Order: sequence, then structure tokens, then C-alpha cells
Amino acid sequence: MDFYILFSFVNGLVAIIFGSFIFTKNYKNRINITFFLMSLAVAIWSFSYCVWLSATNEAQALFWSRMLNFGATLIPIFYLHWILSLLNINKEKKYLILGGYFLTFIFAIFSFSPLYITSVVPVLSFPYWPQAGILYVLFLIFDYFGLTGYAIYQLLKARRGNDIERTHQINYVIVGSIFGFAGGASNFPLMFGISIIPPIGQSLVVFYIVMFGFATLKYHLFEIKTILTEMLIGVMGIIITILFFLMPTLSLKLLTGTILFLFIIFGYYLIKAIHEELARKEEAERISKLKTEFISIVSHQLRTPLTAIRGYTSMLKDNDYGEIPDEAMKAINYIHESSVGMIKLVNSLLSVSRLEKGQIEFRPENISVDDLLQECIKDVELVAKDKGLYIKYKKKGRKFPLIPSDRDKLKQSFSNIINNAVLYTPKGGVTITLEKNDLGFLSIQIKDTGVGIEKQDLIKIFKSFSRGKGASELYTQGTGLGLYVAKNFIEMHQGKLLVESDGKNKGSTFTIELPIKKNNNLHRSFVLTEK
Amino acid sequence: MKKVLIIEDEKILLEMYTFKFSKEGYEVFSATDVENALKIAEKEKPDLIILDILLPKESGIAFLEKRKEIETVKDVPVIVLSNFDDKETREKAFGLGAKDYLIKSNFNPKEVLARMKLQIK
Repeated sequence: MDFYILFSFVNGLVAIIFGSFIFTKNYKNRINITFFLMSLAVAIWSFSYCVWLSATNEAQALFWSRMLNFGATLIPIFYLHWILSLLNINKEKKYLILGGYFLTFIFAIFSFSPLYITSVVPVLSFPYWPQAGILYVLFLIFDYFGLTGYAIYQLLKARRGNDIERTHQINYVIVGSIFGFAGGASNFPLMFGISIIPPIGQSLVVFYIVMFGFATLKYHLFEIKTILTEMLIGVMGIIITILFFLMPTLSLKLLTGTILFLFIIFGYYLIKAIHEELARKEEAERISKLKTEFISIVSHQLRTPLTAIRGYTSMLKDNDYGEIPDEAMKAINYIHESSVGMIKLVNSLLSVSRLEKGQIEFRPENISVDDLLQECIKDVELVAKDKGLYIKYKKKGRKFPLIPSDRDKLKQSFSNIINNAVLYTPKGGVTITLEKNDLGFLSIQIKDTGVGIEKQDLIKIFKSFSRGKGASELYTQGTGLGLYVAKNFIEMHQGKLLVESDGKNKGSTFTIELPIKKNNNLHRSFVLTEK
Repeated sequence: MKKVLIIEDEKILLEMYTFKFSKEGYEVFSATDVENALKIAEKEKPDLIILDILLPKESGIAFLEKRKEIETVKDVPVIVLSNFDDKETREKAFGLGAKDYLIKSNFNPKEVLARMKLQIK
């Protein structure tokens, strides 16, 4: 008996403390409000449970057993409302929620009538266990199992197609729900005269409110650590305070008093440091998010005028508007090339923004790397010719297997590297070699006779907005995004991008290695890359 | 003469595509919003529809949904031509029966035309 009283009391206490804590975190948010209401209903149920178990006569026990069931009647609808708000589908399910509230209202009205709880009778070691009336059966079917069952169904449905953090949050809620509602349900068999299971599930209830609390706080691991630290410090503080009052002698009181004093100071600074660290982390996340959003918006807005410039100049080039004098055509070519360059830059910016947000799509199809390389070479041939550079394409072997890859991303990677080779080579040229190596990889080597890369720059050239010294001297308008994007895209294909250079003005060699074997884990590896 | 309906609210781009496609022998119709586009599509029964996503009032996705209710329009191939490139929208568009999803800035009118020819029977 004492065990049940203790657990009910702890359940009620945790529910009210945690519910209020979540509510004060953001009292205007529907998720926090509904969580608070649910916690309140749990607290009514738990505290009434305590009083009911301590009842000394039948009348008292009957009243408090009805009160605890009144609390239990309110839990499912607040739970459902909270879950649907958490999943952000509360608006589209508003009639269902209203229906749930109406049903609950009816049951709540009758919860103090004999239709709900008929009487209290001795069961197992309990002198006054409530017995279910006909309406209670309906409550169990429609409210307790109906509403909560529907909420859990929505949770399971939402697990699919959500990001990792959100899935973790949902998992917490599902586990919490199982603890809570299975624990609560262990009380029901005895109400129908079935004494197979004693109501030990009661002790599980406390866990669900804590799990729900974590989930409501948006599953920020750091925040969980903060809460746990604060709770630990609080509990230790209470223990030391109790010890202080229990100490029999003055000297021991002085000792524990000093420890308590030092502990309070230490605890205060520890909590303060954690909060400061949290604020710094949030600020850094906010700035990073702003940066990616800014890039994304700017890129979208830039694309429309660039589409017009590229489109109209391409039609002028094709003489769609009639013959154009050579001098004017030269100017049109410059405008066209500039717009294409600008579009590539915008695409790179968008790719970076997506890579950082983890939103890159992967659409694999069987690709001929040979054809793709030839396309990329064709794109830069004109520029190379203007600069007086040679471009050689060598194939070691005749037949190359098709490999499963995302065509656009692979082409962007090849283009970025080949364009760089042409751009950063003032004289000589670029040699591209395709071969199949013995390790089951297609190897693409892009070797130039250009400005080269100094040793200290070799490690950083694959980082975003990072450029080698030689490159910055020769071509001032580069962004340092091309190689970053290329490396990420190639790694998405489980490939490798390597670089070698003997130093300044000694040329560079970029090697791309792509696995030939069809790999079913391609997309999975991409998800890992995202992180 | 094959008929093409372009749903595009940027005047400069609409003029550009209209000019190119007409020059290549297509009969071109245009609309700048979903409501008008549905009316024109029902009346003219085009062989192909070119659809932008970011449109005033309703998005191109709404057009893809609503066209399904019109018997004569529901099977007309639709190519999405938009600078709005987001995974969710792309998936939605293909889910609603779009045949292709092209990023406007990556294709000049001649290249769009080549993609169109793949869809017109």
C-alpha cells in the first residue's frame, strides 16, 4: 500500500513540476499549453489516487476514486491534442479534437455518478477498489484506447519522412506513451473483478511525463544535459540541506553548513556557465541558419534575371532575331558567357547552402563516365582554345562500365575541376585520363601545367570559400566553392577526390575515384555524408 | 500545328519563350495564373503545358492538382519550368504527374524546346 501511495505522490509531484516547467518555457505555445493541461490531469489523477488509498471509510474512498477517474477521463483528450499540436496537424484535425473534447465533457459530467463508478469493494490488499459502471466501459473504448490509440497511430505515421532529430523526438514520445498508458491500464482489470495483474504499472507512469517533457523541449541534447545538471544540483542541494538539519552536534552542523554554502556557490556558477554556453551555441546556430537562408533567397532571386540574360543572348547568338554584325556578336558572346558563369556560381552557392542544411537530393541512374567527361571537355574547349591551351583526353582501355550515379551532381563535380584546370593554367594545357583500376574503381585524372598549389594550401582547398594562393593571384573572381561542392558530391557516390601538386607553378593533378560496383547503400552513405 | 500552353508570370520570360516556340512552329498560348491557365487549357486543349511553380495567388502545384478534374486536360503532359528548386516541390510535382522538372536558369529556350519534343507525341 505504502508503495502505491509513494509512487502516486511522486507521479503527481513530477507531473505538476514538469508540466509547469514546460509551460513557463513558452506559455503562448499550443504544444506547451496542451502538455501543461495533460500534466494537470495526471496530477489530479495521481494526488486523488494518494488520498483514495489513504481513505479510512467507504464514502471517502468512493468520492476519491471517482475524483481520480475524473482526472483519468481528462488525460486522453489533452494527450491527443498535445500530440496533434506537436506533429503540427492540429488544424487539419480540428473537428476530431473538438469531437474528443465533447466526448470527454460527457464522460466528465458522469464521472461522479454510479454509471461511471458503481461502488468500491475489497480487492487483493486494497480495501476499497472501484468497480466500473457501463459508462466506464464506453470511456475505455472510445476515450482511453480510442483517442490515445489514434494519437499513437499518428506518431508512428509521422516517423516516416522526418529528419533524424524529429524522429528522435517522436521516438521519445512513443516510448513515453507506452510507459504511461500501459502503466495506467494496469489499474483497469481489477475494476472488472479480474485480478490477474496487480496495478504495478503505476510505477511506470512517472517515466512518461519526463520523456514527454524532453520531447516537448524539441529534443535538444544540450538542453537535456542542462536540465539533468540542474536537477542533479537541486537534488544534491536538498540532500545536503536535510543533512544539515539532521546533524547532532554543532561542529558537524558547521561542517555541513560550510559544505552547503560552498555547494550553493559552486552550483550557481556551474548552472550559469552552462546557460552561457547554451546561449553561445544558439547564437552560432542562428547565424549559420541565417547565412544559409540568405544564400538560398539571394540565389533564387538571382536566377530569374539570369535566365532572361542567358535565354535572350542564346537566341541572339542563334540569329533568331536576324543576322548580327560580327563585332556585336562578340559582345553578345561575352554577355552570354558571363551569364552562364554567373548561373554556375549561383548553382554552387545553392549547393553549398543545401549541403550545409543537409537538403541535397540524390537521383541515381546508370551513367557513362566517358560520355560525361566528353561533354564537360566540350564545354571548356572554346575557352581553352582562346587561351592557347591544349586539352588532351586519354582513355586507358576500350570499354568502361556504366556506374550508378546522379548525373547532374557528377557533371557539376567534373566541370568544376576541369574548369579550374583551364582557368588556372596560363600556358601548356590539361590532360584528362580515364582508366579502370584493379581495385574496382574508375579513376579520372585531371592533370594541368598551371599555377600549382603550395603545400600549406593543399589541406584547405576542399573547404568552402577557401582558395589557394596561386589561384587568388591569377584569377581574382573565384569563390572557393567549386572544389568544396565537387568533393562533397563525389563522396556522396562513395568516391574519393585527391589532389597532388609539387608546388607553385608546377601544375596540379586531381584524381577522382568512383566505385564501379553497384552499391545499394549509395543513398545511405549520402545520408551519413549529410551529417 | 502543335499547341503549347505556357504558364509563367514573369513578363520578360514569357515573351522570350513565346517568341522562340512560335518561331519553331508551335501555336503558343499563355497564362499568368492558375485560374486562367485552367480555363485556357480546357478551351484550347494544348499538346503540352509548360508550368512555373511560383505564381501569384496559387502555385503551380495547385494547377497540377486541379487539372486532374478536367477530363480534356488531365492527360496533357506537363513540364515544370521553374527557378524554384526544392526537393519537396519536385517530389510533389512528379507525384502529381509532371513529366519533367527543369530549372529555368540551366536551360536556354532551345534546350527547353528539345525537352518539349521528347514529350509531344
